Amino acid sequence: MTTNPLTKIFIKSPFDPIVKHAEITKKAIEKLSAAFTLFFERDYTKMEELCKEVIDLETDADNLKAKMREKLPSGIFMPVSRGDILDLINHQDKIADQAENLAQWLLIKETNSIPLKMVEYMKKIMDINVKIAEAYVNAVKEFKEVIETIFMKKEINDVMKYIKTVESLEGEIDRIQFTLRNSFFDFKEIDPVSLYYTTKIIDIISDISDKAEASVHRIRILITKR
Amino acid sequence: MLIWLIIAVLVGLYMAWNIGANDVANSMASAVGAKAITMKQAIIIAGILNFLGAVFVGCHVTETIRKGIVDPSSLSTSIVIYGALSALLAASVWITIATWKELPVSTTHSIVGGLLGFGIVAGGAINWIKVGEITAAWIISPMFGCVLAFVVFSILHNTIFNSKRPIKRCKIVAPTFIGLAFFTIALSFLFKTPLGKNLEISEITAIFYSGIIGILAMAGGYFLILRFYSNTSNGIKSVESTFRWIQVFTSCYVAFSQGANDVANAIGPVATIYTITKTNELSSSVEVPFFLLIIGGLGIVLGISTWGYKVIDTVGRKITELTNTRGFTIDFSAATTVLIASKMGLPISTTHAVVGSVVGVGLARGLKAIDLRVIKNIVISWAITIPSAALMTIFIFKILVGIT
Repeated sequence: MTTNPLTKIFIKSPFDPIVKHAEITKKAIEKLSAAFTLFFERDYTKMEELCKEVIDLETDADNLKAKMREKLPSGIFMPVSRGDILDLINHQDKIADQAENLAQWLLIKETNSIPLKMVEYMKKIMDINVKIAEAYVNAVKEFKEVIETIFMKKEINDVMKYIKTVESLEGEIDRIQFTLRNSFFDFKEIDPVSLYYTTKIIDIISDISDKAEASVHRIRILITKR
Repeated sequence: MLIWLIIAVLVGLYMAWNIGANDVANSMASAVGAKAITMKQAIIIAGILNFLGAVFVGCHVTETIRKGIVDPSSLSTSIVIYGALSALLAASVWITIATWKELPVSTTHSIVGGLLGFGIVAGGAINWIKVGEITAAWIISPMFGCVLAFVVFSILHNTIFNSKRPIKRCKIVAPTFIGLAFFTIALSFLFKTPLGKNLEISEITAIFYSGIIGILAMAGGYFLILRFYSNTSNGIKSVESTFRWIQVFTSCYVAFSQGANDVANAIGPVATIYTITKTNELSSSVEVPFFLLIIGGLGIVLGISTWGYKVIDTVGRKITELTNTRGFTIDFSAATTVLIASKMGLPISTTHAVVGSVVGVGLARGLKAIDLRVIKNIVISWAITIPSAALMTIFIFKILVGIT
């Protein structure tokens, strides 16, 4: 009990939880990638386990997201705008959402319906996703450093480096997707349901990188000096 | 008559206790939170420095509270005694309610509100010009703290953090601020104070001496930093650790300034009653008796040691993200603001000066997150305090006059 308002003016900043959230996301994608390999090896028992872990991680990320939003009251004053931070949280959370989404589709266990010619491409996309997740976490960590060092140029450059890594990796995935799209009508003999299953999985693994790219764009907005 | 003086001293002690309990966190929480000092050290340091500030510089604001707001010369002695006592009682009750309800109410605003109530009920001997000055100071002081903190932090940021050799810059910039603080403190001791008069120091020589003290402190600070941090690595971390012990010093600076400004809230009305009981007349030329300032200082010490440490602990836990340079900036800016106001005889809220400084560092992007809703609550409490304390004073005054 006190009249002193200093007990209330200092509040926890959202930057540590955002890093933690990004780390959970990265972990989810790594597990997802392992599950993806097992999916093609048809090792379903182990894959199931991993997919469930991915789903659990997504729940963790969701809870953390809710907590972060609660701790951003309308009166909060930060070195960056509250709206931009909420936007970043929103976008970052979608990465884990898509990881969970894919885990659900893998659990259907229809490896046989995927045309062999596609498999290598899909694995490649997934490998790039792991690299993206790594670069993404580093971007978020460095973003925290930018805030802590009050927008020091060196730290801003570090973030930019990771943002560019994410962007170029996402570009690679785009190119693979383009190749796949061009060969779409080579698979006329496959039944439509199998093809739907295949394209769905391809769409989701590509979407993971799209979501990561959208998130780094939010970070870019946040570190741009106003 | 004596009974009123005893009651007044007791209530004055309680007010001083409140200052120690609620407001000492302003000076000590950042240093304790940054683990620059322990809680025990904080209590001792805050006690001594509040006491020193109260005793040596507390006279200006005490004069304002005593006779600057309500001019007692046109009133009868008994009316003045009842009025001063009512104002003090009302402020105490209001602060107690505010503590219980956790409203960010300032002891300064409460006592000034109380005195206004007294002036109204006693037939309007209010010095409205002074009231206007005080009100202006209430608005200006947080803003001044804010601007000062913004400037100080921007200087630290641009000269130290953005340089290629932060430690090298730190060795020059940090002692400069130490020198500036010592200059202000020395000036507060010597400029227009009883001490200065006793030593027969004129205003210009006071500035001159203070300048010398400031330069000496700067040199001292320079050599201390050189001695303790000459071999450490050239990074931001060692800059922060340098500021860690400078923060101990700036905490003292805040505690000192606070003593100089806030002790009057408790002691001013007691001084009024004391003068009347002793001389049986309303002589306004008598200076604030020394022993009353000591009582005020002791009350503050009691407040810190019985309750204040809890508040320090609460605030200290909340400011873990406050680095030493930020803590230093807040302390330096708030203390300078409060000390200047004290010298001008303007009773202001130390807490508001600190809040202003916190916002200033925030505006310089130095803080990761602060809750600005606090400011709204402060403004609301501010607006409620004045009429509440005034009305309560009028009420208590009527009772006191009724029963005697």
